[in-house]
Amino acid sequence: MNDNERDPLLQALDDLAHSADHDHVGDRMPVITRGVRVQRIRRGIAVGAVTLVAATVAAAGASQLIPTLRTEPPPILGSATPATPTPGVRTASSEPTSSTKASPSPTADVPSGTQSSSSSKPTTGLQIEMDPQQIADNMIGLEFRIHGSHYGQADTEMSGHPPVVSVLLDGKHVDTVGYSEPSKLVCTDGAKKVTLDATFDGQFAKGEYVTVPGPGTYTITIQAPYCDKAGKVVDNEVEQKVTVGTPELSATDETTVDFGGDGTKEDVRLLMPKDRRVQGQSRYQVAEITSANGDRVEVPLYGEWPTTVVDAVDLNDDGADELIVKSSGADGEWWSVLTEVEGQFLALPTGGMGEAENDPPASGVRADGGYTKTFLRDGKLLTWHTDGAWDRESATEVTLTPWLYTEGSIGPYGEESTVCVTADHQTWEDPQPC
Amino acid sequence: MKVVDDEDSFADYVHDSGPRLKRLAFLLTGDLSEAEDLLQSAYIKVMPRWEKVRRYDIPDAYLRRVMISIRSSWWRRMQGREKLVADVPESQPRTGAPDLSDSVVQQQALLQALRALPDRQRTAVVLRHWCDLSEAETADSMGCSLGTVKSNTSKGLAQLRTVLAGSSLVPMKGGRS
Repeated sequence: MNDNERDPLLQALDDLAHSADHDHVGDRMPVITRGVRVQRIRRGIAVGAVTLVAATVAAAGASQLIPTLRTEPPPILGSATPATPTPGVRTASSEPTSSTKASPSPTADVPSGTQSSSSSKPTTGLQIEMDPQQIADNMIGLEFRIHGSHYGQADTEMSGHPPVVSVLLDGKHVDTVGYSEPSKLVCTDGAKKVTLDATFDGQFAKGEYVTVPGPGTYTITIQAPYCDKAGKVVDNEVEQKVTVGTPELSATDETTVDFGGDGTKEDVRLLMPKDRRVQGQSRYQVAEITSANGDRVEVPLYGEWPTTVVDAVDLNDDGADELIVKSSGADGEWWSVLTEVEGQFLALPTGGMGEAENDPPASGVRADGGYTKTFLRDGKLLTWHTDGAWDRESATEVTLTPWLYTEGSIGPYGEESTVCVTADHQTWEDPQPC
Repeated sequence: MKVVDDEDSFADYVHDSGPRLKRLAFLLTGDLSEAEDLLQSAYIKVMPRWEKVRRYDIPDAYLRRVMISIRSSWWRRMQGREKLVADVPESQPRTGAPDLSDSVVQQQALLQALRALPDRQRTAVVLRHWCDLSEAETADSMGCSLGTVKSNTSKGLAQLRTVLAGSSLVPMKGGRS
């Protein structure tokens, strides 16, 4: 048999395939159209069931049903173990929560020798007025003013400042401003009277806001002891409760996606706190998904930078789209896949391929110095990574790894390949060796 | 108007692609009824997304992937019930004058041998050698690695040749290995 003759086995395969031509079916469209209608009805029932459950739970105790804030980094993906998704749950309406104002009553000079109570009673010559404000979902800006008079050494450097000011969060020391530690305030008899009026802005002491774990109610305490005329230390503090709630949100991006593959599209809005005073970041981000029938859920997102849409693609060829989003910032990109599985919406984080201590970027420099790049090509998710630092000036061989998405999980899979990248050629259609 | 255009366009595609995709479905399933079910299920999945799929360079490639995906999910559900035939009887060596029904016999033998293959091997052989896809295209359709494609294709073909050894499909001497 010469090379031009086809393998008889393969020819027989072709003949076998053509034997199916004898099976006449006729017009398939009525069956297909009916099937699409059934598919839509079935999906509507499934989503409605989830909505009903969520609404019931919401009625029972809505205030706690906010998406769980991520306090730990998302799991590192670098093995075949898929990430554990956080399902989107129906939330109560997220009204912005305003913090209350401090309202201590200024007092006149207290006779010397009087020690004030240390709990929420301003009683001394120095009055403390504070105005804590929620800055973000995990930060409190603390502006406060201390004014009045005390007795201390006349010191041009110290004049106008209280000797010691400390801030506590739920009783735990945050920071101290002053010329000595709180416990070491030393008063001397016969010191001069000093009048002062000092205002501290929101970025207290270290130039940082007061950081809290997340939404909740906290007690801020400001201590400003001083010396009285007799040379004794007078305790002086005020405290105020601050409620950090779900912040007012604004959209960073939006799109429509056919998550169910039935031709109806859901509206998707990517939301993060409107007020992001600290470098534009927030640990609180959600994807708000609204179905055609008006049902709405919120899915927590990963990443602290503003999240935007990459593309809607059918990653697993099941006829339904997944939405790929990324949180992009100065230190890299964090990609997630939004998907619907049996009526429930999930956000699946992807990670780099490096060995970062935590939260490896999908694109960016890893903790080990290597570089990772994640991108879409022909509807497939891919990542390449360097083993060491990436020299952008020269062509570099990198390891290319495809991602496999199956219902409800995503992870790296399959055979890695080596391809060549340069600064100008980072994602390509036709991979080449260097 | 746009919706009507999409439906008409999809109907045209179904009419045009039906015969060739039915052949593929038949090779993947080994059964005409199952092949028709598979094909219709794939069309039902794709129709809502036709607006987007119609703009792909090769819509057939997407249909192939959907069919394989559906087939895989059916196979996983049926694992417990499907009776896999481990040993397919070898075809009897041909003797005597050619018979008009030989081609039918050969097809039946091939069909039996094909159905006896593990699902992944059958899919790999069909995509590589009947659809004439490259290894990369086959890997993309099956959602697996190149290595898996090579392995499944090689094993699948070898098994077919072993089962059909002695028939005109796999000559005893001088045949391609």
